[in-house]
Amino acid sequence: MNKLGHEEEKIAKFLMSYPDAIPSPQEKARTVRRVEREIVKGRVGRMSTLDIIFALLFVSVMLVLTLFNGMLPSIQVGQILNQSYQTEFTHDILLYIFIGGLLTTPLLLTILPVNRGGNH
Amino acid sequence: MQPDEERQYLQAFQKGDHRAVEILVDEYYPALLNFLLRMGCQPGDAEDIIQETFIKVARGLSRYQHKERFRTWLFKICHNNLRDYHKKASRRWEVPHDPSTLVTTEASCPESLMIEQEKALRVQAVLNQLPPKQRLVVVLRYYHEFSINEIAHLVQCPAGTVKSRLNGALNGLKDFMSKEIGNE
Repeated sequence: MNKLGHEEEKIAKFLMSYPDAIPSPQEKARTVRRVEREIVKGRVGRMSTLDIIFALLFVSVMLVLTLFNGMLPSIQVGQILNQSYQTEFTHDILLYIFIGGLLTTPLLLTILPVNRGGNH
Repeated sequence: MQPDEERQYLQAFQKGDHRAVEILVDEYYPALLNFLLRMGCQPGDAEDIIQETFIKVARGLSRYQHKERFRTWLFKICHNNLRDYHKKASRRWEVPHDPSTLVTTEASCPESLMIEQEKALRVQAVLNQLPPKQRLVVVLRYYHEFSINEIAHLVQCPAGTVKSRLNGALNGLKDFMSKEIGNE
């Protein structure tokens, strides 16, 4: 048993005579730069589940609105500009702005990289 | 590095915080480099594998459970990368790393650098004689001080297998060493 322990000690000593290699600062700096670049790339390129849900919701609502377009009064810019604030289109315009804002704001907030935290 | 401190750096690292990336690379790069070189990897390839390891860490940090030491998890990723690397270029196994190509050891003057390289060359030659699985266990146990259970987790095999590989490796090393001493 003692002999085995002694042998193992000898082997360990031999193995430990292998000196450690010390990486150069340039090597480490290159790694830092590449890792940072990949993290930023991954963050911008990757869509979260929330983004996908919003995108699907946005597309489906726009589709429904388009399909039912015939039931809604048509919006003409000229007409709107000629009308005073209280017109028969006001409610429709407000509805469009509200739905559009409701769908696009969270989508933009989650997609834009500036809102994802970290240093930019 | 303390576990709490490490956890904070890891969170910042995931967000791409420059200081955190720098600190973690500074902390773990040398250990990973020495692991890969002792596994017979070429220095240029080692740098690529380490970079890939850190990138995978950044991408997979959300899945890291903190149940195992971060160091163990990092080495596991590095080992998987090394395996993939060898699979892609199987010929690389046949050309083990030559420690004399290393220029960055702690040696201060050319003479001591030569002595250090000589020592590295001797040990590497003996390590290269071991089958890759045994070499892996020896490198993780002796140079990186992982426990048997950690090695078992890292290489994804039972602790008993790790012990038997370690015993086999020690017997092999004993033979190689006696042959080497006999040749001198």
